[in-house]
Amino acid sequence: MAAAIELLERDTQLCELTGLLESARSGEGRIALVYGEAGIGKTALVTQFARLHARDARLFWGACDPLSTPRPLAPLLDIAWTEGGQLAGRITAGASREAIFQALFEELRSPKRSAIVVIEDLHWADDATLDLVKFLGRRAQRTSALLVLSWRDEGIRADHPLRASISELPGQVVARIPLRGLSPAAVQSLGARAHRGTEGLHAATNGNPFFVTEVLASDEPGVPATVRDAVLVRAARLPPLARDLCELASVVPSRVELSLLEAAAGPTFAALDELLASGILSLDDGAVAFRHELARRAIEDALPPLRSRELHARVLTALRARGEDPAQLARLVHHAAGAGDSASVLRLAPSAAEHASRLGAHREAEAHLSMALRHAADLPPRRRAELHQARACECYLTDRMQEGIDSCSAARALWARIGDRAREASCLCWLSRMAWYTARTEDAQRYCELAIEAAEALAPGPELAMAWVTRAGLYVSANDGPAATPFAEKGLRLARALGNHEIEAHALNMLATASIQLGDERGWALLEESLRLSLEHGLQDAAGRAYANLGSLAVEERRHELAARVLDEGIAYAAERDLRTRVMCMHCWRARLRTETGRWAEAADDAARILDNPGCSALFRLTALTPLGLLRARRGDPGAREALDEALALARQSGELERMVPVLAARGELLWLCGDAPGAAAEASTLIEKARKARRPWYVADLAVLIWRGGGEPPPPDECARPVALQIQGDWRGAAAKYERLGCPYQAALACYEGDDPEAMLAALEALDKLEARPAAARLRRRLSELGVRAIPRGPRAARREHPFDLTSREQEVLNALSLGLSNGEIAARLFVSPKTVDHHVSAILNKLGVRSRGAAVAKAQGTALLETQEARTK
Amino acid sequence: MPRYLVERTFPEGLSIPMDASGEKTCLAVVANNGEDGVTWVQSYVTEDKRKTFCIYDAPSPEAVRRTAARNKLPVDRITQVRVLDPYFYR
Repeated sequence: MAAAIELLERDTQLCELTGLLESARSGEGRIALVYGEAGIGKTALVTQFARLHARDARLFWGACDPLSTPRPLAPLLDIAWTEGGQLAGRITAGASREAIFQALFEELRSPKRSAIVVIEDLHWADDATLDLVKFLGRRAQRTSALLVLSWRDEGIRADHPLRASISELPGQVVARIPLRGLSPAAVQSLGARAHRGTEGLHAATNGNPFFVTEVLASDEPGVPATVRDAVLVRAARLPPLARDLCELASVVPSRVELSLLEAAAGPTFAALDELLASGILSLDDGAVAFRHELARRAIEDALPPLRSRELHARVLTALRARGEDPAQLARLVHHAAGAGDSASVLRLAPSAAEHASRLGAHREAEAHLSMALRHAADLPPRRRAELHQARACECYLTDRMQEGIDSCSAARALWARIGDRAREASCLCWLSRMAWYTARTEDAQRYCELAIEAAEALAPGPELAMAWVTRAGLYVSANDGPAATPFAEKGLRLARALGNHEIEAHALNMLATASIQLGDERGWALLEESLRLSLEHGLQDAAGRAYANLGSLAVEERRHELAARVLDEGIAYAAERDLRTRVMCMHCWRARLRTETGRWAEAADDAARILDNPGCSALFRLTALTPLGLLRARRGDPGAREALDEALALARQSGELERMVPVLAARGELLWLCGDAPGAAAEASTLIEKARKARRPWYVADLAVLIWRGGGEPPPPDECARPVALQIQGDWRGAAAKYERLGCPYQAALACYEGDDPEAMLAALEALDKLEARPAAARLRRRLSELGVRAIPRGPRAARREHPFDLTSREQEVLNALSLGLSNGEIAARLFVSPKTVDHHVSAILNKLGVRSRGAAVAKAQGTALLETQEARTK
Repeated sequence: MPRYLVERTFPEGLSIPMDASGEKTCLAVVANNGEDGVTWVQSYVTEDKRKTFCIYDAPSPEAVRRTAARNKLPVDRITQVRVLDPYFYR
C-alpha cells in the first residue's frame, strides 16, 4: 500500500531479505513470503528493501487490485510497464499467456543483473496471477531473481485459492517472513516524535504501524476504537472541496491517475493541493493513492448510496472517454456496476469475461458473467441463454459443478423456448458431464439420452458428435468397453468430417480408454498419441482430459512410473492454465498413487488439497476420501472408518465399479488390520462377481486378496493381477518381488508377513516401521514372537535421526557450541581442534543451513532441528 | 475442531531447557503448527523423559503428522479424544 513514514523494528526482516537476494545473485533464485494483517507494514518493508538495493538489482513491481472482479494479470501488466521493451510489446501484441510468462522468466534468468520481483497484495489476485506465481515459483531456483510475494493473512480461509498456490511453491527456495505489530517501546518512540502521549495506544492498536501513525496524525484527544474511526475523524476535518475530491478518489480502488481524477472531478480538482497537504492521500508517479487501502475503504464505505452511485458514474464517464482498452475492462465493469448502470454492465461485462477467460482467469470470467446476469432481466431470451451457457462453461472448468448445472439448466430452458434444438442438445451434453462430476450417474445418463435424441433429429453437426462421445464417456466410466467403442468411433468419424479437433481429441481419448479397459495394450500408445495431439494443437481442455485419463488408468493398472510422470506433468500443465477441474481430478489420483507407493505424507497432502475445499465435486471428494481413509487405516490414525463410510455412500450414489472397488478394498483392509479377517472377506465378496464380469484383473485382485486372507474361496488366480495370483497360490516370495518391482513397499512387506521366512519378515518389519505402518507392524511383531524369533526390534529405530541439513556429527557439535554462544577459540578448546578448523566447520554450517551469520544458524537450528540440538545439549 | 492425544517416544530423552532458548524452541514449534491450524494444548512427559503424551487441537490427523514432520518430532500413535470432567457431575 502506501509508504510508511518510519520503518521501525524491521531490521531482522531486511537482513533476511538481503540474504535471500545474495543467494539469488549467485544464481540460486529465492522466494520471500511477506505476510501479516492490513496496515502491518508489508509495503513499507518491501519498499525500503527495494530502495536499499536500487543500485545493485533491477526492480519489477506489480500489485493486485481490489476491484470487485480483479483485472486478469494486473501485476504482470504493471511489471511490463516498468520493464518497458519486450514484455509490454508482447502483451499489446496479444501474445498467449504462456509466451508472456516465458518472456518474463527469460528476463529473470538473464545473469547480467539480479532482479527483485515484487507481487503485492496476493489476497486480491485473479486466477491468472496465481498461475503466474506458480509458474515463476517452480522455476525460481533457475533464475537470479528474488521473488517477493506479499499478502494480508487475516480472513484468508482454508479454501482461498492463494493458500493452494503458496503450498505448491518449492519449499527449499521459500523463506517465510511474517510481520507482527510494533513493540510498546517502538510505539512510544513514534509518539515522542509526534509530540504526543501514547497512553493506551499500544493496547488499542496492537502495535499496528498504520493504525498508530493514523492516530498520531489526528489531533483528537484519546484513541479511536478502530482504525476506521481514526481515518474518518481525519477526513471530517478537510475543507469541503478537498473532502469532495477525497470522496471521489475513494471509489477508485488502489490508485487513481491524475488525468482520470481531473476528468472526473471537474472544478473540484482545484482542491488537490489541499488534499495532498492533509497527508490522507499522496502523489506518486502521476497517480494519487490513499496512504493505505484501509483508509480508502473507510471513506468509501461511509458514502451514502446515492452519492456513491454518482461518483462511480463520474469515474465511468471519464474512463470511457479514454477509450475501451481490454486491460481496463474490469475497471469499467466495476464502476458501471457501482453506478448502477445496467446498460453499461451488459455491454462491458461479457467482453471482460471473454478477455479474462482467454488469459486463463476463469474464476474472474465467471464473476463477470454472473454480474452481467444480475443486470440481465430485460434482455431478450437469446442473449440471456448465451450468458448462462458461457457461465456454465467457466463453472465446469473451475469445478463449480452445481452452479454450472443451474446456469446450464436455465440456458437449456431458454433455448427450448426459442426453439433452437441444436443449442439445447449442446446444453444437455454439458449437463450430463456436470451431473457425472456430482456423482449423479443416473442424471448424467438421462441428460445424455435426451441430448442424443435432440441431436439425432437434426442434420449431423457438432452437437451430435459431442452427444455420442459423451455417451461413450459414460460407458467408459461404467467400465463397459464394448458398448463405449461404437459410440466413440461414430463420434470420431463425425468430428473429423466436421473438422472439430476438440471433439476429435475427446473421442480418441474415449476410444483409447475403452481399449485399455478391454486389455488391449495398444490403447496406451493411442492415449499418449492423443495427449501429444492435444498439446500440439493447444487444445487445453482436451490435453487436461488426456493427462487425467492416462494418469488415472496408469494408477488403476499399477503402472506407477508412468502414473507419476503423467500426473506430475499434468498437474503442472493444468494448474498453469487454471483448469481447476483437471487439477483436482489429478490430485485425487496422485493421492491414491502415493498411498500405494509408500509416499504417505505426500499422499495426505494431495488428498487435503481436495478435502480442504468444501465446494468440490462429489466425485473428487469420493476419490480423495478413499486413499485418505486407507492411509489412516495403514498408519493406525483415527478417522479411517468415517472417511471410508462417507466414501462408500458417495460411491453407491455414483454406482460405478471403478469407484466401488477401491472403497470396498480399503474398508476390507481396515477390517483386516483391526483383526476382523472374515469381516474383510465378507465385505470384498459382495462385489467380487461384478469385478470378475468386468474382466479387470486389478479389480479382481484387490478383492481376491481380502477373500483369501479371510479364509474364503478366492476367484481363479488367472483372473487376478500377477502379484495377487502368486500370493493366493502360496508363492509369497514371488509376490513380494513383484510388488517391489511395482514400487509398492507396503504390499511387498505384507506378502512377506504371509510367508514363513523370519529373515524376510524382519526385513519387512523394518520396511513397515519406516513407513510408520503401526497396525501392520504390530501384527508382524506378534507373528514373529509366535514363531519364537527373539531379537525383534521394539519400534521404529529413531527413524527421524537423520539431520535435516545433512550436517556431519562434528558440524553438529560445533552448531551446539554456537548455540551456547561460544567463540571459535572456546569451541576449539572444547573439541580439541585448532580455531582454524572450527572456522572451517562454521562456514560449512552456514553454507548448509543457507544462512549468513552464526546467530541466524542457531535460530534456524532451533526452529527446525530442535531435537538434535537439545539431545546434544543434555549429553 | 477435533482433539487428539499424540504419543511420542524419544529414545535419547527429551529436554527443553527452562530458559530463553527453551522458550524459543517451544515458540518455534507453535509457529510451525499455526500454519496448519494445529494448536499444541499441553504435554505430559514421563519421568525418564523418553515418552510424551501431547494434547493437540487439529483439523485432522494428517495435519498433526505434517506439523510433527516439520518440527522433527516422532509420532507413535494418534488417538482422537474427548474431555471427561470428573467434577461435571457434582
